[in-house]
Amino acid sequence: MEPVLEVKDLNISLKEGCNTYKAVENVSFSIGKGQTLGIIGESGSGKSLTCMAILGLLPADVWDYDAEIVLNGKSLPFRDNKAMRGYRGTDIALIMQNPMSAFNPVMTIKRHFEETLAAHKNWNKNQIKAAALEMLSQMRIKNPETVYNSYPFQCSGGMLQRIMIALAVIMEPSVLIADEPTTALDLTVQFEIIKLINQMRKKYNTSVVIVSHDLNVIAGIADEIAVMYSGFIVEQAPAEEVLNSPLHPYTAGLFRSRPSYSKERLSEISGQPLSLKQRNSMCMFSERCPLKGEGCSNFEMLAHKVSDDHFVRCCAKEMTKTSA
Amino acid sequence: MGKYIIKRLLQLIPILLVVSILAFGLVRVLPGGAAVAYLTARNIAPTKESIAAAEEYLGLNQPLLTQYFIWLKGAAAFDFGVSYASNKAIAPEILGALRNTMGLAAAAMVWLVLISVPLGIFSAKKPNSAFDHFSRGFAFLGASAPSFLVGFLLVLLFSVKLNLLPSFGKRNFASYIMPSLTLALGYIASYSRILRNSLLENMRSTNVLYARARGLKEKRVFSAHTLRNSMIPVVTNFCLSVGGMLAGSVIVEDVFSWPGMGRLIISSIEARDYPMIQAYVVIMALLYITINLVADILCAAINPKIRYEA
Ligand SMILES: Nc1ncnc2c1ncn2[C@@H]1O[C@H](COP(=O)(O)OP(=O)(O)OP(=O)(O)O)[C@@H](O)[C@H]1O
Ligand SMILES: [Mg+2]
Repeated sequence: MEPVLEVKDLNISLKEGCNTYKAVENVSFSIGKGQTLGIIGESGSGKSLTCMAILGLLPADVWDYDAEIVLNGKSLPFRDNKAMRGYRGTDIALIMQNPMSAFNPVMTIKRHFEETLAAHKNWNKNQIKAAALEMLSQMRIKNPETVYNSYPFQCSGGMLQRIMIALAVIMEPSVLIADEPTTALDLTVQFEIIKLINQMRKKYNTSVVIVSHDLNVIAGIADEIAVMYSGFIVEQAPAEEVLNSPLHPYTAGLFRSRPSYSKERLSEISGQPLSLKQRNSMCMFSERCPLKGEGCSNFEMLAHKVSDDHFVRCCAKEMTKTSA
Repeated sequence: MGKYIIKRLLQLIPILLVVSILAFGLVRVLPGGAAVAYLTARNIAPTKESIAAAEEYLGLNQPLLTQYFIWLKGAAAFDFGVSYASNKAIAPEILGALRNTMGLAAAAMVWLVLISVPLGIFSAKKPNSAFDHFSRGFAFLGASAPSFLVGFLLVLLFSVKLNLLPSFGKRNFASYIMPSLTLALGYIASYSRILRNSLLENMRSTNVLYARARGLKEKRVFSAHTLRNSMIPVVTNFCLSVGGMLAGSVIVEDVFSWPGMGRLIISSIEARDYPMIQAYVVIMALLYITINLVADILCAAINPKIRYEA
């Protein structure tokens, strides 16, 4: 199957004076039509940077980046802000983490819909309103007319997140990027939001990239899972495989720290990830790794292919494989 | 919005009553009393008899409350009596001065918008560029230079050296230029910086990122999101300090001999022209309150949050 979105060798570094610090390295993935890729990883692992890079939204005066990003067979001009404008919102839509600050507080929801659609389509206000109300009711908003005419500060976070999904899906994009769409919300609302995203994916056959540091969110929706750590995808495979037989010690640790209904004590991964400036040529995870051994101190985070669709960046796994 | 304005208008009534009592009481507590001041202004020696006659004539021998109500009734109809100094009706004289002061303030406002908005935008577009440094230096000088000094320097340059603009009085359109610029300078300096900082902050805000992510044109992102939201602190700050502009105009009017409220009050105090001082206090209070009301309405118009909280 032809992939809808393909990211090849994404490298992002932070520019600071004459120094550069690598923030995201060799990230590659592809998503098929109607498929969901879940990216999981703790804070600072480069998930948001990866999403913003796809949309060409990283300010060039702060970030240096390079990749080949292919959308529906065409290479994306991600460096060209003007050219990217035509893709943003229409082909690739974004759902952000904090709905409370994403909407402009001085503009009604109506104006948000109007300006978004006016940027891409030649619709008049009545057409826009009809489409928006229809979309809002699909988001199970009971009084779409009232919500349409209200200001963002009159809506709850969960409500705004539904509106944001409506605003994204209304253009029927081929890719929907949801960067931690539930982090700022109540637990009860989180589930609802994930369900809505999944429904929209099915309805419009959209490909979804969903980012989270909550395994429950990812496990429930993703077809494929990429685990990020310190700017690298340390393990990537179909969801089933990652969930049932995680290979990277970090992935395994994540699963152990996942709260469940068993009486077992919640075990966390101890320690802190490295900040951008601390990163060097050893395995990024080695300081916290339970399997730390000889090879870890000069491991260049190479990808080791376990099978056709499963790879892992861990020297312990590489050793066992080669020695076997 | 209509409700908000009506509520604000009703709040004015008690404030104005207090102001009227203060203005009325002022003259009663001043040493020497109104009758003596009246006689002095007329060049009549204040003897026992002449004071008694003046008190009789001015109605000062009636009970205080009666005097207050007579005066209040007049003031409500904009009749503040007759000036001791010029022996003419006060209302037309003070309204003429008021018009001049308002004209000066309006001209200053034009400078303010015309200069500080572009200055703020250009410094924010290229932060720490040469232009930004220049505008920072300008803001520092403009905000710290006292207006009498700025006024004198302008006169020295444009009237004495270049002979381009009139140095005093209000004669034609050109007479507005220097006094209004002097009045505006301090505000231009601080508002251009407030706008610059607010723009820089908003450029990095989540809602601007989201606007861009929705594929809006860069022009629209700037005008409807970055700039629009950055105007809120500017307008709010302006609302708070607009009264200071009135106070500042006293100095500027003095420097440029501008026939406005500032000059009127200075000469009235010198002449101990009590009815004029009373009228001035009432009218200035009214003006101050009205301007603040307009400013608040402006704030509510630009920031919907205020409308819904009120
Ligand atoms: N504007 C910036 N200037 C400097 N460093 C930055 C900036 N933005 C992000 N970083 C750094 O880049 C790294 C990756 O950031 P990113 O936002 O992609 O993390 P994330 O995986 O999305 O984390 P989170 O779960 O907290 O959202 C972090 O170490 C972060 O500190
Ligand atoms: Mg993030």
